[in-house]
Amino acid sequence: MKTLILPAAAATLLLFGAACKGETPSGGSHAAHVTPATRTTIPTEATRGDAHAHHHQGEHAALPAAQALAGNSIFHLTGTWQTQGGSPFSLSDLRGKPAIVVMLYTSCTTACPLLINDARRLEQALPEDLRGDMQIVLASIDPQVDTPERLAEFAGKMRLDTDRWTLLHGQSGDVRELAAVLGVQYRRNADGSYTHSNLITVLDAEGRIVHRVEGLSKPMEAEAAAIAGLVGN
Amino acid sequence: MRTSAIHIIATAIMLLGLLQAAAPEARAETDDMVTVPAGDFLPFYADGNSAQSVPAFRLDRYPVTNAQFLAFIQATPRWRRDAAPPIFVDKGYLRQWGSETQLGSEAPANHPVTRVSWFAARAYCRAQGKRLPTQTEWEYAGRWGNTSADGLLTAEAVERQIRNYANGSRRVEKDVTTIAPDKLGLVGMHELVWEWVEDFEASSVVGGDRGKDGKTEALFCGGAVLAATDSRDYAAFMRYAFRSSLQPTHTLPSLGFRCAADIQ
Repeated sequence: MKTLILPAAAATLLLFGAACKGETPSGGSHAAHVTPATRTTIPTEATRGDAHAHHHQGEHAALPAAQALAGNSIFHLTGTWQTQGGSPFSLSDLRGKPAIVVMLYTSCTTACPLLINDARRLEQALPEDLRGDMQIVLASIDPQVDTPERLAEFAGKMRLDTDRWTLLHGQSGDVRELAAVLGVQYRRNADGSYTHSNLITVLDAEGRIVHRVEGLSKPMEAEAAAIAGLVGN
Repeated sequence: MRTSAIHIIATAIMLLGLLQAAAPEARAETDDMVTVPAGDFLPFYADGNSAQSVPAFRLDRYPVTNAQFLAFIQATPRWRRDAAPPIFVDKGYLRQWGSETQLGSEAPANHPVTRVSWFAARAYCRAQGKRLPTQTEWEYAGRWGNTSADGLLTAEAVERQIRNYANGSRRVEKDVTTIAPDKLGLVGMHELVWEWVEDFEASSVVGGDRGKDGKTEALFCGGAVLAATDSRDYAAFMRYAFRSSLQPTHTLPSLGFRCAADIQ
């Protein structure tokens, strides 16, 4: 299993690319695109007022104006996924409760079980009232192999409580879009394995990214406390 | 008899006129994409020296223009610059346009559209029933039209690419119809703007094992030229490095895109 290394060289590239063209990225960083730190809390994005939300009635016409989506909500993604039970699933189905989101693939034998264990440890470290609300989503980056049936088999093998854990199979374009908004990078290798970020993302009830944990086997107590302060509001 | 002959001639002239009138439209419709033939592609960087097999695909002949993107915006208002949510676009999105629905003097109709995010580019392509090309597809196509029989970039292509990239954002001050096509018929792959690809971040996703043996650095640093498959292809280093610096919401004044499609 391979893990992501975001090399220092990549940071240099930003400068390199900018210098070569005499231009720099024009916008400020959004929550979804901050280069993940080992532990990243993003309270400003979660609480920032949103001047764009009212423009999206066309895409989300069913929502009353009072419930318009925040501009930085991942619920703007409209792809239809399938759960491990084969049911259709939209990311906006997560609306109303906070969620832990992890992207991985089931053939992965090293990092992915650790990622699941980390998500489990994070959930268990949360205050009890928040833990009861928290939804946990595992979205596969390997749609060719990870069919709903395969995901169901994997959930059983990993002893995941599917009342609270949802495993998702999506079309490759929807997978790539979700990865893009979460800041998960992945690439399929010639042998069918994937090189990918080890990233746990926490969403508030409106689909805004409020916290990230990057890397494996981190202590979760401080992470859980930070999340409780953000999501519990 | 005489009347019939006149009728036949008149009908023939009318049909000819119709054919002539229809021909440019038909040609425009069928010529807007180029078929890129299947083949093997060896990335510029040493990656086990294994060539990647690229199936044939279709690629837009031209980068998407301001006029084309405006038509998309008019049909899909949620992608207007005052409507697209910040999770999909940064603050520079279409900033050079005169207004939400007008191009203005800074965005001539036939110039490549720029200041569009990866999400916006994907949405445009999807609306056309197309997709963004992968990085491998783009690089393969961009090289195909500029190589000699030995598979290496022609000296003229090397010089032209470097010259164009060195010109920075001045490249965008060109009408797409004024650029000569390459051998494949593709226009402006190296002369106009940087272009989004579907997996633009692929180069920065590097496995730990590669980091340990130094190949991470081999992708980006100056020393990589020693291991490159074609050390003269310095412009490729610039493209891979540039893509690796991007975030999907970024909008830049010399970054545009063109769409691809599978061959059914």
